[in-house]
Amino acid sequence: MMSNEEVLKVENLTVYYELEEETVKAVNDISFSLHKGETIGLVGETGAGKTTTALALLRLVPDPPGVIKSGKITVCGNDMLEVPVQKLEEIRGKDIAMIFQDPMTSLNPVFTVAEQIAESIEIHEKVTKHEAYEKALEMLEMVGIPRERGGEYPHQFSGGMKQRVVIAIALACQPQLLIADEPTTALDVTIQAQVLDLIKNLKDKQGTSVIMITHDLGIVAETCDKVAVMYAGRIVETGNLDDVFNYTLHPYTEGLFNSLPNINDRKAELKPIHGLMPDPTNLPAGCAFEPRCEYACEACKTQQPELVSFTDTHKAACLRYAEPGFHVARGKKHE
Amino acid sequence: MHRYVLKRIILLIPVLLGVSMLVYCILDLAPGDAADILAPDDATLEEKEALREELGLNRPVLVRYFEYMWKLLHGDLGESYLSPVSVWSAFTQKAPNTLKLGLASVIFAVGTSLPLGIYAARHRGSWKDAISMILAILGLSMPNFWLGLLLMLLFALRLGWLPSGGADMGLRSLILPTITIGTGMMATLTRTTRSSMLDVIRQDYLRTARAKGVTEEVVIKKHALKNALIPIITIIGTMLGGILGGATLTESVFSWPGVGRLIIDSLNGRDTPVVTGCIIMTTMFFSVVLLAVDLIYAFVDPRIKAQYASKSKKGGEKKDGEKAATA
Amino acid sequence: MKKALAMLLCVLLVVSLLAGCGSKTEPAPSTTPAETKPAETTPAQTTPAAPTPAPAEAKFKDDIIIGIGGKIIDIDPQENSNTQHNYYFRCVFDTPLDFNNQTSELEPNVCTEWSTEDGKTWNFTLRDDVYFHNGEKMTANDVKWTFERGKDSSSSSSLCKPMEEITVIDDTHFSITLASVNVDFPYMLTLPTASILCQKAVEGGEKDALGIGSGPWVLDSYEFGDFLKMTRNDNFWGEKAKAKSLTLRYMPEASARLIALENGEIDVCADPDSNELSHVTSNDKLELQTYTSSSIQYLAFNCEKGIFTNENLRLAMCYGIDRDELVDVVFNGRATKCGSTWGWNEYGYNGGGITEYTYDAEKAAEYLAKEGYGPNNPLTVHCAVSAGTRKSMGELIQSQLKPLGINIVIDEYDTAGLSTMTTAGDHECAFYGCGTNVFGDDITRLIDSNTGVNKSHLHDPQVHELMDAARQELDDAKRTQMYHDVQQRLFDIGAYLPVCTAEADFAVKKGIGGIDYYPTSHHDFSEIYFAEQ
Repeated sequence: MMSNEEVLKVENLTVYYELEEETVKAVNDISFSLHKGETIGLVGETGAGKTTTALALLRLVPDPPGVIKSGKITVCGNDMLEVPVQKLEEIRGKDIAMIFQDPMTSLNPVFTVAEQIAESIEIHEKVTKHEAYEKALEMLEMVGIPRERGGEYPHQFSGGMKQRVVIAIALACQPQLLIADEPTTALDVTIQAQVLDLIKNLKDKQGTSVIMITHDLGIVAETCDKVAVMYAGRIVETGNLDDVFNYTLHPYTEGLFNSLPNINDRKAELKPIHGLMPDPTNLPAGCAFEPRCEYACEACKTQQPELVSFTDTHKAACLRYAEPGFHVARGKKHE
Repeated sequence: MHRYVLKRIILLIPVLLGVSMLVYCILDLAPGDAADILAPDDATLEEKEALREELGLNRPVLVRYFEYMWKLLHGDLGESYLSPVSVWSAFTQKAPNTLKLGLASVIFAVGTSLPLGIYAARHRGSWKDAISMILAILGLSMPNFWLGLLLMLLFALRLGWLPSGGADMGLRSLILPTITIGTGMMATLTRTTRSSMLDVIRQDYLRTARAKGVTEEVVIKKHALKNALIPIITIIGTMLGGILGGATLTESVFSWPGVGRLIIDSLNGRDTPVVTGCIIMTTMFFSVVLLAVDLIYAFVDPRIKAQYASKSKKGGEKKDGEKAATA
Repeated sequence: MKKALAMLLCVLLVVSLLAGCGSKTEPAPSTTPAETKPAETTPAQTTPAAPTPAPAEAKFKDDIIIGIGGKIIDIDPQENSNTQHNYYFRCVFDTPLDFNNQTSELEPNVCTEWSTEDGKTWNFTLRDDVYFHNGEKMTANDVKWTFERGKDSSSSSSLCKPMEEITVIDDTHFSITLASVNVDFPYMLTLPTASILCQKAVEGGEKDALGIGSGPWVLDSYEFGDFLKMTRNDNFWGEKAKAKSLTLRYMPEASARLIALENGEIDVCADPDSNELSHVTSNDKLELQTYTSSSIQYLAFNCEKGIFTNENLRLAMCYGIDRDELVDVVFNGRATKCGSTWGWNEYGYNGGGITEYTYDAEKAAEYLAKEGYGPNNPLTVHCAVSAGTRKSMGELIQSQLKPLGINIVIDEYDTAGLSTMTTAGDHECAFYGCGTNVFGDDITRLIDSNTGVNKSHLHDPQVHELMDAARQELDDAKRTQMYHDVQQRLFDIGAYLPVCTAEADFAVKKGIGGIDYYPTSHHDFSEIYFAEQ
């Protein structure tokens, strides 16, 4: 299934929001890549920098105040930070598409849903208006909305259906890379399953690579091949699904798993991670997770941990692993 | 939808009734009446009383008012006290001129304010924004008649490009009065456009559009603007409705034969039928324009159309009866 | 930083707002004015200059446009008598007789002869060659019909009602018998209210029949409140007009009117703003034509009710007001003080001086003291004005009278409102104006009538008796003496304080001539011409 064609390569991306009084260090030196057909889960709490990363891939970071301080983003061979605006507009929607978090506000209230889907097709494909509209109606069908409803307006649809429309817009031109930014967060659980299913089907049909941004580990388990865990704008652990779930390395990742209620042990106490994510305008010199980490040591306060490879696929950034024999409680050890 | 339109038209009636009663009675409060104006200075008091009786002005105000309303309901606006013309013909002689001027001013205002407001919104916070806003406010701060005279001095007198008054030179006569009135309208419209655009520019659906690959130009002009239009249309509607009330000062300065001047001259002459008639016509025009504006909303924003169609109450009664203020 | 800046701007804004709220500076109390003009015994008003005769060989412009400040709202000469309507009446209609402003003599017009034996019955001879603009010939029947109609009209009733009987002898002869003797009758027949209408046209319901006259101009087209256009009458019985069309254009804003003249859009600007005359004098394509108005600007005291039923208080006001200052300040010196409560151009004028109130603050204080008022017991007086020169005069006398112990309270009204409340007698005193014609009896409406012109509501038996008698007195010397007596009486009782008559101007393009200026400001444009320079 996995061809070696690299669809996305992110190298040392750093994005700050430079406000008048302070600077928000949203994304700090992250790197990852994605091959054709792969799905990577970008996991982390709110404020970890996931959405900023996604926007950066499309060069949609609001500027001002957002500034891409450094890094290189290559999408299907295009250097996203260097291409001229015209090329950028060609790539957006065609090679790379995005599904946003809140379906209630993502659709333009004064245009019909079919029009909004058709617009994408009109821009990227050489078809007539009529043909585009036809294709739009087909897309609606594909996402499970009867084509007769194409002439209706967003306010006439429920949240779940709106999200389907958003997905239809994103996939209308069969992009190679789809970014789904918490696509089900605003929806009920039952609808959630439908939407995820939809994405999976379309992905299978079209061979799309997907970045699934979420804070929900369950979704990751369902849909992803690879995982990258983000904390305070950094990737602290990355690997394939098996690696991260079963051979968990980083204390933060462990903390995430521990926070999940255990259906088998209903009486057990919940184990949240104490404290809050650090203030992104005032990040500590050392490891950002140190204040909340059970395993923290002195060195953690002052030294920034780097991503260290444990296997071909599995990397983690934790100083304690310099000590031989150290491992977090959860997870098996790699051989 | 049709029900909504019908309802609005029916609501017009109490509005017009109220306005006419108000105008009629207020005019009555002013010292003096048409007999005082009409009778020559050397008329004896008896002669003046006789004239008053002839005009029917010695009867109590309510009696006169009801007679007026009775005639009005039959479509008769009455006769001028001072001139041997019917109020209707006095009005229709001047109304097209004022309409022409008003329309031109609104078009001028819209044509300058919309781009300026959009420009300011896009460059918000920068000096470009500040300059745009200053330009717009300038228009509002300058008194109409002062600006009119200045323009006249420059373009008519010094440069000789344009006529200084009157309405006989067609388009050329229209230019200076239009600019005079238009700059006053500009301020409100520019600010509204700017703030409305600013509201919209932050919206998520614009981000969706950009993510689709829509060019920035189209994002602003198509996606953003259509959403920003509602408050803008409201303001334009109010401006349009008010034009028939007349830009009285501008009409005086430029000797423009319009309704505004007619109302003022008639006020000074205590010519009640003309004043009342003109104000009634103006109110009616204003109400119709407001209705049209409300209907246009439905075309711009489908959510509003849904509101009209459903029988559920609209949030917030719209006031049809806002009187056109004489500028 | 931004916040600090914002705060600073707010503070500045508030401070600048308050800065504007300074106390109103009182007009500087008048000490002796810089140039004290000696009391004039003979007024400096002159008879108006003759209309400049048209140069013999000149190319005349075809179309002349006059910008006027008043609105024309009716074409019927019997329904209006204000300035702008008279411009049109004098051009389009004929009156039986004419008046020569330079010689102050009556002249024939469509009536060639007129005579009377007893001052009650008057005989007239009509021209044989006068045609109305619709081709109908004017006969004595038209005259009779016109005056009968006038009895019920707004403006011509006071002229026509006293005509008890009008007898048509034949087509060119008729006589009019008045209800009582009135030696001024022929003068009244020179006024536009005596314009002759075409009976057949009006009774036949012709279009704009009330605008059909027999004068040198024909009513061509008009729009009330906008313009009125006249074209040359090529069948006029007298000297034909010297232009093809004459248009009166309504331009209410004085500055804009003057600009239109400077711009060349109009040829004559009526009544330019007195503050803008320099624009005309400094422009070598334009010139000012000046005449002395006969409109008396006066202060009327309500003699019928209120504080000014008291003669001493009236006289206190009359002596306590410095008219020289009023002339200097309000009229920029371009006015002449009135010699008495009489028109300087009017028959019977006593030449001024003897019945003139010279400014005398002491005398004023004396009169005040007689009633127990003074600086220690001030008198409050309400003075009604309308905007413009009247208001300015009101404000000046405020400061003049304050040291004497008279506190003037100014009540401002709009023109119509002022007219109404003074007619109703709701005022204590008021600034107003009244134009005077040449015939002696004209002043009656001001000093002895029940009309709205009598702003002092004066009904003095002596004045009444004298005016009545004079009206019927056929002997010149006796009549003149009676009028002198009236002026003396008025002076003694202080019914009016006549302030001044002002110089008035028309701004015209160089080459414009032929305007016959009337002191009453009802000018005659019928012989206007525009000789190309």
